[in-house]
Amino acid sequence: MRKKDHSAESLRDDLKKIVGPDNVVADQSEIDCQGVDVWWITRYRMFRGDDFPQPLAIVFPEDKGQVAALVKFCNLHKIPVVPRGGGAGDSGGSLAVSGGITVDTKKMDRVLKINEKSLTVRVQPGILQKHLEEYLNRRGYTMNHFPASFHTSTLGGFVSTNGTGVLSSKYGKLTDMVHQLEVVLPDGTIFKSLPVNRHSTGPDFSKLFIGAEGTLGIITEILCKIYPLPEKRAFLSFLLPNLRDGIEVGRKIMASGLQPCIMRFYDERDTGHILKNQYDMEGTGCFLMVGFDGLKEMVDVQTRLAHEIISQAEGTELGDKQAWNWWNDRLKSYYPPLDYVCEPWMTAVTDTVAPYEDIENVYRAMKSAVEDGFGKYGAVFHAHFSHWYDWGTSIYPSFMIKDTPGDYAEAMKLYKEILDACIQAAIRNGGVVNEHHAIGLRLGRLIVDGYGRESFELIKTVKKALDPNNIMNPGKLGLGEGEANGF
Amino acid sequence: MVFDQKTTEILKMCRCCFMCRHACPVFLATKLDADTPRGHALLISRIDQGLSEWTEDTIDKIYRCSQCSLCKELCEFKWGEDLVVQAGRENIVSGGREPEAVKNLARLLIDRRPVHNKPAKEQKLQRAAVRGGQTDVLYFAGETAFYKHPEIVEATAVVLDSMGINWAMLENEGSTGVELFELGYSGEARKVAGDLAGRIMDIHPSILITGCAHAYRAFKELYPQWGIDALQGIQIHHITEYLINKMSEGVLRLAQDPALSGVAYHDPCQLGRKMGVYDAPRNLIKAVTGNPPAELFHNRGEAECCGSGSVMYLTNPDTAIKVARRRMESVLQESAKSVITACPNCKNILIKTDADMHSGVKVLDIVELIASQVKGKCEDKSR
Repeated sequence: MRKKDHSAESLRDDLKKIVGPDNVVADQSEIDCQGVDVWWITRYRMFRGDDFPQPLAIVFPEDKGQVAALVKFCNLHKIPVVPRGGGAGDSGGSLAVSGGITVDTKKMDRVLKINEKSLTVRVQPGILQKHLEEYLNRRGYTMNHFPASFHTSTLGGFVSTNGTGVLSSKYGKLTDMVHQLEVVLPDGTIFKSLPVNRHSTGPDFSKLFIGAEGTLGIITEILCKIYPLPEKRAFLSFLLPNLRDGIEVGRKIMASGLQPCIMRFYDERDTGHILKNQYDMEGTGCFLMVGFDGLKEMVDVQTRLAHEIISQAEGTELGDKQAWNWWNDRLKSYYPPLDYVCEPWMTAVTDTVAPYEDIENVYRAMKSAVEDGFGKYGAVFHAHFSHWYDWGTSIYPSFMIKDTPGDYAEAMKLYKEILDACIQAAIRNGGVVNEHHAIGLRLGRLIVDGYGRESFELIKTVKKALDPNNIMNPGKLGLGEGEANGF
Repeated sequence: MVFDQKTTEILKMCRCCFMCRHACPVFLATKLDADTPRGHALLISRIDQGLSEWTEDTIDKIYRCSQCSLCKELCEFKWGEDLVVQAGRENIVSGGREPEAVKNLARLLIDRRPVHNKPAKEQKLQRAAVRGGQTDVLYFAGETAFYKHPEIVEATAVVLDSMGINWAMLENEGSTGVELFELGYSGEARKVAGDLAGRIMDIHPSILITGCAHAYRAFKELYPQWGIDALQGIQIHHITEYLINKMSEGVLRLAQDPALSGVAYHDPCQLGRKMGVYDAPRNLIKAVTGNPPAELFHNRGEAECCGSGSVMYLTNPDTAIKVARRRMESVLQESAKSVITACPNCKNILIKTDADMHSGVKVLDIVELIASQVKGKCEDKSR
């Protein structure tokens, strides 16, 4: 194939030869709809009427052969390729800021094979998580992955961002859920990691692509763990005296070898809302909810042991009714009227994760960075701790400024200043740039701070080795020129 | 601002919310974000804010919605995305921008001319089942049954005659107006509806029954909303409700044949989700087969549209068929030998899809199933 200069039209003609005419879309309506994700900047800009960087075409491959041919073609012609799943991220990760083409994976949505002996399922990346879960539930299984965007996002998107669901304290992140990945590399070759992820046959190279946000290739097949549907669920809810005691209770539960599938611990501000809205009571302290699932006897024993640990911390038991409500409505809070999405208020989540010895300092430093640093704008900080491990826990903070500056440049500057101050406070105290929403465009400039300049060189080296023409999702993950496009 | 306050509020809620993508049968068939409820809200919102103009492309997307309301059903806060599409279409029509296919269809509906290309067996039907004059029960077949699936009308005649019901049909039914309404011709819809209501009342029936789920919703829900109160004094039933009542009264007597088991039931959106009729058809199936129908994985309020909603099978047949294929795949997942539905429009698209897919599933309207098992069939005195 010879390299040629493409007009938009000739490019689309060539793409149609690869994936068929029905699978190349250049409708402005689709481009507009794919131009907005859940990131505040995207929404803010779109409704100001700003012109957005747009792809020349959106392509819907139907199999890995088409993906490989597409990527090979784009590599030859140095055309940027933006892989896309559900497009519902909050960091601009699937925006075509450098033009080129968007490769939408949603027509690759088949379950290829379920293995009930090894408890695995082999899936194409474009399946909605909701549909995969339904497929499994019909057969008595579950993937135990329930993130906020469960209904709308694709498994491939979750793998590419190394996402996390509400049951992560027991079942982990996507990196823990994946056995094997098949990936089309930027030169069009197809890489398949080993069929198991516990081996001594070199590094587990599937890890290179989990969380890579499509900067190193396009995932075309995923082998995931599955579990039998649980026999029983049980919950405990307590009000604990303060943040420090609550973190210690959580640490003890995880360190004791118990396996809560859910552990959610809320700071004082969030707890105030929970007590008022769900318990109709006033009070101070921090709210803790713990859940167990699995075989009935194991759930009963673990619930009893967790109850003992929490009781020793002088917690006030609040029963399990509200926890059950939370579980049953676990996705409800992501529907409008969700102020974060519906209002032009400036918001962001700044989730991070740190070891237990650092986590309280990380929390206090982030809170101070937002409220002390930007109090004059009415910045409000609140957080919960929702993904617990035996070595540490995540913090899921959000900030919000309702009175967003009217001037565009001032608003952008303020947004980045708050985000930078908050994340850098986390990094300085032992946290990382992000825990489960990924980097995208939103946090790309901070990733060097997170790794340190020398360590980040390795990431750049890997990127350059795999993608010398920088065609794969340029500008994301701090690997490119996203900032230059005004993001 | 182009749209009213209620529409604007829904636009604000839905334009950046991704949470009902999984619910949209058109998105599931096309995989386009512009075909999602969020996509519709986003596109219309940009027009509302003066950031975009209507284009052929956006108009096409707004007409690629079956208005099945599954998005609303599965929305935790029940935001009326279907109202947004409705408002969008009304705005398109008021500006004379509707696609040619829509315009042509609307003209036929307004003029009470058949919208289906080939009025199959029409003449035979006229002889077999259509009767005028004074009557207790007026049966409204709906255009799809009358012209495309007269076997449904014939089956209805068998069932009604078996009970000795004094029934009749209108000579030229025409549209209920619901199709025009859903296409954005709200004013014309009201006129057509008012005319039909007047013709119905000329016959003075005490009971109005219909096997068309769209017509049922029109008579029972939309006419009162539109201020058409001519039908207020008469009972309005979907045929399944009417037959269940007759069965409980001992008037409708059915033979039970377990060999007919193994059927699945597809909930028509208009009958189930929009009008809440779920049990009557299931109970009738059970009465005839001895067993409840096999449930499709998404059923009752969460049933996915078959693609015929909002006359999409006439305005966007390719998209409608793609939607129908997904629904037929759900039937195949249950290993059902046949699928029963309770709306001629559902039957119409499912039977075509079944043929395209060579799936070998028999598609029947529920009245056909009932007609095969009625006891004491009466001679039709009009024949």
